[in-house]
Amino acid sequence: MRKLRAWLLRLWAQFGRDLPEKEFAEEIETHLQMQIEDNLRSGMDPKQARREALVKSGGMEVTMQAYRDGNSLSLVETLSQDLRYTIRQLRKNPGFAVTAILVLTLGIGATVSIFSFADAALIKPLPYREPSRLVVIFGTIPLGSRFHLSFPDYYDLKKLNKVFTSFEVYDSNGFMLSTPDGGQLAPGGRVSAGFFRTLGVTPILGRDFLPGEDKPSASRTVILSYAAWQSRYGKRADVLGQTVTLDGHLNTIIGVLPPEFHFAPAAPADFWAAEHDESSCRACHWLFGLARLKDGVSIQTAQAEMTTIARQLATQYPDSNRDQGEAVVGLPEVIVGDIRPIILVLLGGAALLLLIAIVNVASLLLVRTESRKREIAVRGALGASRRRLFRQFVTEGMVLAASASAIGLAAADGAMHLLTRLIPTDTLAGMPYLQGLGLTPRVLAFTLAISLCSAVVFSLTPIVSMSREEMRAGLTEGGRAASGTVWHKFGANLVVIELAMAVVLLVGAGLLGKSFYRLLQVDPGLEPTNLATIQLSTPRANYSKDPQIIALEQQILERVSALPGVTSAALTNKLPVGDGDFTTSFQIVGRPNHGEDNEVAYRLVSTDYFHTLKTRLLEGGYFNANEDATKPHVILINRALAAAIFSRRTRGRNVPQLRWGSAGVGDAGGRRYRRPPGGPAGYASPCRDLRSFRPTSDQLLLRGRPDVRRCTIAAADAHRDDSSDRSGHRGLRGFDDARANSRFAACLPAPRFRLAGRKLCRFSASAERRRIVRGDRVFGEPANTGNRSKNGAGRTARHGLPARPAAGFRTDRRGNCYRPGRIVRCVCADA
Amino acid sequence: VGENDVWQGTMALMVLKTLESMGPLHGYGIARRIEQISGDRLVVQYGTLYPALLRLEQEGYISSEWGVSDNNRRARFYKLTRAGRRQVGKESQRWEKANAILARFVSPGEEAL
Repeated sequence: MRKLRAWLLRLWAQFGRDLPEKEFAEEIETHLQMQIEDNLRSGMDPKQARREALVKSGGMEVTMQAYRDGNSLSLVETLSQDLRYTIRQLRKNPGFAVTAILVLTLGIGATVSIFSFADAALIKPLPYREPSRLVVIFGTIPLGSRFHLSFPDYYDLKKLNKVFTSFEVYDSNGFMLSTPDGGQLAPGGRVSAGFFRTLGVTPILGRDFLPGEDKPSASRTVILSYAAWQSRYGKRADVLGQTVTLDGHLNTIIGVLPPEFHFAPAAPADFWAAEHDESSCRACHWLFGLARLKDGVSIQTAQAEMTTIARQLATQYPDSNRDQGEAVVGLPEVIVGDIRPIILVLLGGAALLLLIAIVNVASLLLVRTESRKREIAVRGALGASRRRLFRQFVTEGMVLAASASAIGLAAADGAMHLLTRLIPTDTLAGMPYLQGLGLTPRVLAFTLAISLCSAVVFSLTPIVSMSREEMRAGLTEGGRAASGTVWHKFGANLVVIELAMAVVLLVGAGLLGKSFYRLLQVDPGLEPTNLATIQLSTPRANYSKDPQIIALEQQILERVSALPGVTSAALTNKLPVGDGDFTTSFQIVGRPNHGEDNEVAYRLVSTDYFHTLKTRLLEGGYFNANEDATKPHVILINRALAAAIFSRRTRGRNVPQLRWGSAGVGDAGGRRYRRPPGGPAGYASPCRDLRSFRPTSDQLLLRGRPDVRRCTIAAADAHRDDSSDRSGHRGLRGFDDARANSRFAACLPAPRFRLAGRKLCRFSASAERRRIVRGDRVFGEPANTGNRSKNGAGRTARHGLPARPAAGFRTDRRGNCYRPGRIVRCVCADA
Repeated sequence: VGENDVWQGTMALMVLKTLESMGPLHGYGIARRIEQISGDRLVVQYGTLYPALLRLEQEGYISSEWGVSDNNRRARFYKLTRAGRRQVGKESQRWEKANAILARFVSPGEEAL
């Protein structure tokens, strides 16, 4: 304690030391005078008295030095001396200082900002208990490996497996939230009761779902995300027990999730409801599985077990489960699998950049050391010890590294926000883990580490380059920069290393640039500018009959088309360039069938869909307005499908017929089939007698003037007027965004439409985002990019499908429904 | 270290002891007093005295303030702090103990034989 006090006092004495020293001089002067007086008193003459006193007291200068040493910390003192000297040196040589610090700042800033992304996405543990033991179970079909599961399949997998401690399901379709202003799309997910227990997440308020709370008979309950609790309920504690109407059902709020909780596969999600649908339809797929592995069970073992069970099920239920399997993927892989390689590549690039920066600055230092030889030799000759000189070099290295780190850290903070802004808002919403982005302690520690490393390099460079002999030689050579030996020793090697790294970096950057260029060149087959979209959600209760829906859609299209600024409008069940959701199987009439299924993704579109998108027609013609249910059914297929199923000689007039949905005959012969380019599959003509099997969510596409986005507001209003039931549709977004387009060229421009101010148009934009994000995340249609449908994909979608098929419909062996005697092609969710 | 020099390690105790018996004193006074007590066998130079005073003050055992000496000179007067008073006792005891042990080596008693 006393020692510490003494040390602190000595440290304190470093600052403003002049006064104590002056006082001390006065003190010993007094001492001397008193001694002289005493000597005089004892009878000496003044001269002798003074001499005696001086001899007796010891040298004054030595005492002063002893006092100074006792009253200071030599280390701190020399350090501050070195610091002052270093700063003087840098100021004297601003060109060197600015270049070195700038180069280093660039390297450190880039590395730190990319590292912060790696920290948020890859290093920071996911907010679950033992996340590495969590897996997601997807359905696999010939079209791809990340599709949905059906409830009966889930039930069997759960019952038969011996590898999971728990097996739950989730789906991430949002809800229609009833508000006093009408219906609103709210983002959310439906989960089985043990979902949060499996994740190891406990609500911070209220309770989790109880076992059995997901039975169809159980009363409906909902858990809020922390963000929803904050934004929708103002963090009120009395939110528990309140009710909220989702999809027309009254739900009781029972809990609030912790703020750090996120679940990217269903993000963003405001409401988490228990899954109440225990459909017995094996061909209806809308769920993803989430399971926790038993101790000692690896993902491979679980995968093997799932495959075995899938085979059993395929034998047992060949109609629905043939060619179907399950894929077990680790949850961290599902969440950050897409982004991990990007971040690692960027981190590698940034690290190389940093290395180049360090080598550059080191060689600058080397050159500078050469020119400072004389100065150093003089200091050495004047008595500066080797250690003292080295300490000077270390100080210089640290000053360089520290100042560059400080600026680099600030630059990295800015770069982080800049990079985040480069990600389209909707894609970002699907990456909730990036919310932890920032200068976290881990990032700061990383900065400190690379800063120290570079400081070591910068200190060692001049030290190593300067041997004792050279230090002496510096004097004799008269300071003429003798760059001979040292430069030969290090400089040449440095240049080689630097060039090698630069080449690697340049090649990497070149490849990236080329990929990006190719991405830009990908033809989405449509004209994305001046296009806007609105998601419509029609309440099934009010529009249960086909004629009602047909009339409504007709009305919507007419009204919207009449809006000023809108040149054409169309409806579809899913946006162009999406994932592989909605699939059907088909057969080619007249070709032998050996039981194989041709499964393709498809869209239902209104007549003007292709005109609105401005697609390119390769052969045949578009749909006509009068092609209603009384006419033979026609379909359009894309180039990829045409190439897959038709040989060259079928081109032209002799067009085969497709048995679409394995139910009826798609009579393409009468009109010739048509092929818009790209895309995965077929486009069904308006099938107006099948509206009840269409999802309740439609996408309204508008093309118009550059300000067509504003039209979407009016269009939404128009639709509202139509559905005067106050719970019509919600959701709205812009489609044309040249900037987003250029960045994410393969996917369609990310919708970034925000609404504000208009009461009638208070749509929940975020509600929309999820679905779009899922579409975007797939990076385009499979045929375009070679990318398979991923997270958002599923064979059949669920949006509000009826629990039973409408009267008059039957299902075929795959659960596809058809009306006997009719030409239909739709996938029905339920049997 | 010459015969007449004060050993560094013992200087602190001598200063503390002196201040304990004499009360506040300036540096010259302390030096004189120590020489006196030693029967002029010790010579206190300021190279030894003042660093010791400085360290004692840094460690908080003594404090100092400027005052006026008997013959009207401005001088810095040192006095014991409370911690210093405690330290005198502790240091004296330690010194006595060490002395006793050393004495057994220098002039061995009966039990050592």
